[in-house]
Amino acid sequence: MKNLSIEGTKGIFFTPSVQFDAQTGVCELAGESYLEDTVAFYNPLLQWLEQYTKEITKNIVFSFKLTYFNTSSSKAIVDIVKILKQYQNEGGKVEINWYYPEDNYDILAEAEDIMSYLKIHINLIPYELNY
Amino acid sequence: MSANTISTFYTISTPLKGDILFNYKGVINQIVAIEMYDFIVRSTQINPTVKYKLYAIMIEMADNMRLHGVKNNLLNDIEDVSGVLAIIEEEECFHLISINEIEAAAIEHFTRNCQQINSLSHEALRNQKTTRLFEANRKHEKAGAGVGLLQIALLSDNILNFDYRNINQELGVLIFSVQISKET
Repeated sequence: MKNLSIEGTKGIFFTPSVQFDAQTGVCELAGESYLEDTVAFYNPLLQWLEQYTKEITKNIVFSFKLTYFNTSSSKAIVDIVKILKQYQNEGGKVEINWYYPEDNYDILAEAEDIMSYLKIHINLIPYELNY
Repeated sequence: MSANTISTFYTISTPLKGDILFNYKGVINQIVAIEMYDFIVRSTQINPTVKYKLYAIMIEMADNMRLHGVKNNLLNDIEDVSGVLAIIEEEECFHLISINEIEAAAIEHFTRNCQQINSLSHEALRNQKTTRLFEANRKHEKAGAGVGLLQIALLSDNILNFDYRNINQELGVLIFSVQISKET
């Protein structure tokens, strides 16, 4: 299984950077997410994760380090966490890190709500964002 | 667009009172949304927490206009919505405003949706947004998450204001706004 690597862009669209490592199970989604076609961008990520959880079956450490995402991207983020939760339910080891700018309670709340709804633990990690 | 439509559209959107931080009238597309985002990010006098809320709400407003507005602007052979997006600054708050044409048949659903959202507590809004996100089916919904208005209410921590003016039996103008406190 190949790694998935997408460089983040900031032009007409805001594409987050994607680094999914099939050897280590370390995955990161970072930056800003505001796309014309959210489904087209996120579907390959979701398919990669589904393949990893079925074929590789090693640990996953998934880190979200997003500074902005619109509600259409929120739906895709929820889909990612659903796959991770399903993998955990099947016995897979999953660690989820949610980095948020220390003064941004709106981004923090998104993770809290996902945790509460799915009954899954997420490490909430504040960091200083230089504006 | 008929003369009556044009007249109604522009009369309602002007004049804007207060300190105008941002005012745009024209086609609403992704490029405009990104330009608006960049403008707010570069506004150094606004604190980062409020700044985040401003651009996050304005983008949801622009997305709502693009998804639900009447597509009547043909630029480069692409049908788009046209409308107004503005941010008015007052001493203690910002007003975020969008104006666009919508079909008269859509206003009843929009009104009911806003009234329902305005009746909910902050906690209930969070619950409803999360439930809708988790219940959405990724394979069948191409555009939008169906939680844009909920997100606007959550980010602003304020009620959704709206007004609707008939143009004719089929069309009307929707004036939508929210307020964000500078003390957030």
